[in-house]
Amino acid sequence: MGADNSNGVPPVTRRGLLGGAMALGGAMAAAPIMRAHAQTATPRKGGTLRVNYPGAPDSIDPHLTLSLSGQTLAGLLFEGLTDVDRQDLPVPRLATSWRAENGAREWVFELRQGVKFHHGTEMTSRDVVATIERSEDRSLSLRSRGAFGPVKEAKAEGPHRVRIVLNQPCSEMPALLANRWAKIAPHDRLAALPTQPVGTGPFRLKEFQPGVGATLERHQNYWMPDRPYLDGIRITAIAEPIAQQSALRSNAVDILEMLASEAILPLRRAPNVKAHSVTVGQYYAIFTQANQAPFTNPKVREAFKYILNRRPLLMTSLLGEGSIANDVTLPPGNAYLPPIPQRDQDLPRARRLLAEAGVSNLSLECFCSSQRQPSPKMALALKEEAAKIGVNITVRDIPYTDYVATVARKKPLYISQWNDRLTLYESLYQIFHSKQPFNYGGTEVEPGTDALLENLIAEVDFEKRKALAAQAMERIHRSSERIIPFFMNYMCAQSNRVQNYNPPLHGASDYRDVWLSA
Amino acid sequence: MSALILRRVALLGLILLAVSLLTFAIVNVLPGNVAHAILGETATAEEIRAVEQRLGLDRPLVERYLGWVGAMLRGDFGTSLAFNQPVAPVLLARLWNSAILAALVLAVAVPLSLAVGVACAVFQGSLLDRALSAFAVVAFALPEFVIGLALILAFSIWWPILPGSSLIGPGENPLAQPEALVLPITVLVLHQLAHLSQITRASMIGVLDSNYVRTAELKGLPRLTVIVRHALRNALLPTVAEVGMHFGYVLGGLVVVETLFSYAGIGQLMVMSVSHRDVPTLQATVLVVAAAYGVGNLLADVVSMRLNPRLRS
Amino acid sequence: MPVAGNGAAPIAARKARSGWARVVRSLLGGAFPVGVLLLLAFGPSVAPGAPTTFDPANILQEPSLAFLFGTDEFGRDVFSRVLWGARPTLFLALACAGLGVLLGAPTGLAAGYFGGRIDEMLMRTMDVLMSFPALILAMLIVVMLGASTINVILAIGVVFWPRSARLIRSVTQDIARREFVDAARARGEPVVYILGREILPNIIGILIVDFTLRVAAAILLTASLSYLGIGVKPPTPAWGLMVKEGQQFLQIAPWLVIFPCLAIAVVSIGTVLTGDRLRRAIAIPDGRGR
Repeated sequence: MGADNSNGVPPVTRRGLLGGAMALGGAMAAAPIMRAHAQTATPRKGGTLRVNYPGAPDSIDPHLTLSLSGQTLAGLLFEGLTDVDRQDLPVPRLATSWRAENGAREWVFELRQGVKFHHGTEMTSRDVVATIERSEDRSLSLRSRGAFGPVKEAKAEGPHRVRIVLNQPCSEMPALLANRWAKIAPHDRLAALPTQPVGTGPFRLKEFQPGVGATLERHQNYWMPDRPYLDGIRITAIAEPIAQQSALRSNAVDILEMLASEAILPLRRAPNVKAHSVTVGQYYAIFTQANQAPFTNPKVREAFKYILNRRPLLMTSLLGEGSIANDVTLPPGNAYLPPIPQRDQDLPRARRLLAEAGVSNLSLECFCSSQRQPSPKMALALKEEAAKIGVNITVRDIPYTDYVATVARKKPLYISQWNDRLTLYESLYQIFHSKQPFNYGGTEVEPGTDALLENLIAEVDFEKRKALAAQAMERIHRSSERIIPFFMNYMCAQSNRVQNYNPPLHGASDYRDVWLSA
Repeated sequence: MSALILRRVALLGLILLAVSLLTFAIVNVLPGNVAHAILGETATAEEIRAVEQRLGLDRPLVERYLGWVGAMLRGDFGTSLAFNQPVAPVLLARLWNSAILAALVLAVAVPLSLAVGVACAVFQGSLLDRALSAFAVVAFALPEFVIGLALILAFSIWWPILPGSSLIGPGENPLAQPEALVLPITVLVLHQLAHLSQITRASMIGVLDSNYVRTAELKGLPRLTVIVRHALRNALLPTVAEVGMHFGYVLGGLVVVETLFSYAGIGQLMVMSVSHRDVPTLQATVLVVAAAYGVGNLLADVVSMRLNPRLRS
Repeated sequence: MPVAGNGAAPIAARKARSGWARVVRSLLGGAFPVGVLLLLAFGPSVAPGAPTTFDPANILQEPSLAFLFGTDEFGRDVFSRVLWGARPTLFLALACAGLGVLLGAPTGLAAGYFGGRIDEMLMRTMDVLMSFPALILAMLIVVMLGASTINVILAIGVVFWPRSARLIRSVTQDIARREFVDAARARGEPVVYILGREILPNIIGILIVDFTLRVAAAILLTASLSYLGIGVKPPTPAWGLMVKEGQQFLQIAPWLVIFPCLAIAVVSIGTVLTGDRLRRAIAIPDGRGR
């Protein structure tokens, strides 16, 4: 690793040992002996791991996939320059070291040597540059555009060194490049990526069955010695929670990813099964879009944040499988989270704020989608609570695709799903800076917040960055267009045959270290 | 008779043309723009325009329809927007899987319904008759997904003897795992049984009451012979005609059952392409289903005509 | 006419006239329709609570004396929701069936009475609609128009249209050949008079039976649409929707599914039986098509 790489690193661990163990749920705690055994036993090679997602991978193009199963598939076939460890610290993957230059405006990555793509050629700087250029190509409009940071230009400096020049300073590049879309593909196969994915990942694609799943086999020339342990992986798609459960219990699958909270309860009691429920940064935001009346007035936005009663809502929506949030985008345990007092329901205050804003007789539609649970439950709860202060809300439950085309960015009040994000660049800057794509209202949170966010992502010193983040989040907590009542746990379950499996903290699972006991 | 069949085939062609128009019309006014569905909600307006241009969604509707029909006639089913794969192989593999499921359902449901219907008719008013009729009414009055969920709960969770989902491996025949087919087939058969057995029962009662059956009985022929040789043949007619109609019902039922059991058939494909706004896949699937339905009805007619000479004129 | 058409046999309307009294008797004789009417009229007022009131202290409670049918994840009383749900559920089903018969009857009357080209044209159009399996056509229409109550009614009405039209057409064909119709024609009565005054009264019994059976079918179709995620989603507790929403809790709170399912079953069985009684009362052979 380069000498400079500590500068993007928060020194505080995100998940303490105790917190982690508690988050793993009852089944885990009940089997400490088995766990100790798993850690000491020698990994056994071979076998096919069968993993179920509620939905099949949508695309095998790593720069296009929207589904979590597709992103997991992409992460098995492809690799990025970096990874993050369980504490969110950047660690080497295809890059072995990195350093910032010119005040974090330029980043130089040294590439790992001797890494082979599935089709046999060696990975070089040419592939990295070509991949970044493809991803940023506006005419292709790929989902991954922007995934390599605010890139101005990528340059090869010799076969194993890449210089990435940025449009603006970004101190978190190493962690940023660990995101689920920043995957490197060979320059000679980029055009064929949508149908023939060739990467450097531990597994290669054997067969893709659209809408059904995918079958993967071991990449024989994988650069990491002794990995992967598995001979292959099969990704399946059972959507019905009861059928998922029966598949795990009857040994038709080994791991159930992305479980619903109703499904994990019975699995905790099932024999030979471990159920996991871990705190992650995924949430549903209730949008009070800042450029739409009545939310153009920050007081109205603030008033709405006091309407919900968060604890019962967490029980109702997720049966408690989550943690209360405070209208900022960082989950509990995050090193940057400032000590802002927890916001609770305060209807008199909400009413007062509305009165101060000169708003009365509000009548609004709140859009949600049954295809994105539990958004309708949140909408219903908002309606019931808002009625108590004379705000009349009509719940409109519509198909998700309608929501995407006609509601998001266009209506004043709706509920929107947000995945976990690795860096402050993604979780604060891209979401709250008024010129950034995920600030749907395109409005500055409070005067001066944009400048604050710009300084924040340029700042290379951790403590200073933390102070800036605290200032920004105080404003976000008060006036942003997102009401974030809770973070949703990531829930999954595995059979006891599966060893060394850790639930993913950022959505996509990595099965490199997983093995199957006899 | 062959002239009649030819006429029906020609008619089927015309109907399919009309169906293609209707499908295209329906699918292309789907709310929830295709480009939005591909890019997700975080996409910007500029990205949306780029995708629309790439997919040719900015061309006039007539041009797009003619292009689509022309390609379909050449056997080119287009490229799935959701999966970035050609539609044809996916659709054909799934059509095969669904056909197996539908064929098994009919193969079980028709003889079983006949047997039950005849038994009820012969022992009309008995406890057996009343119990089976009551069962038929109940099975008919519950939505398939409810019956399916109850069966999964009973036979995959509480008493785990059957799989609650049908995972078909790559290149695998659904018949490779017969146990996974039991529950989906049961759900569809129960519904079929409920209706078909009652029809058989009603027509069988009518036939048993007829003069020639009485004559046969008076002649002293054994009751079983009378039922099988004389009555059943005539009682079969309404049932067969009804099977033709039911083919469409089975296809509709497949949508629910395949979704419930994660069975890789065309019903599931249709639901998926609706929710992904995958227009090329949806168009092709609906057209293929309509064609299958048309052919199924045609076959039922031909069988009816064979059974009933009076209809041949 | 396609041979496999599901029309009633020509003998259908033999007793249609004398059937009227029996229709009425049969309708009143069944305790079922009375029960349904009572449920519609008084269900909400005898319900112990409002169907939408949250009770965070009592979420997912098992059925007990306090909560006869248990509570859901919001602590809402399932018993109250089932009672309140009768109106939206039945209103929806009646509207679907009504629209189907309203579209199908004129089409069938015209096709059956005029015959020839008009018949060909109308029935071939119906064939196009028939070439989509019921659920699939309903699904496509709802998806096209957007999921709202009105659109679900439209979609299922359109699904029922050709099925009703075929039945009415075959009955009309039979009646149009009778002497009294010939006589009316000879008197020079206008077509509207013949259709409305001579033929319609003779098929009204069949229309009622057709309507009744379609109500049951509509309840099931709307429930299936809800399951596929393309049904109506008002905050009002329609039974099909309750089943769909409760389904995720099937294992930990089965009462969320069982009671609305029972309600659906009771009403659809009742409707089918009433339809059968009516059919027997006016001696129409089984002519329901799916």
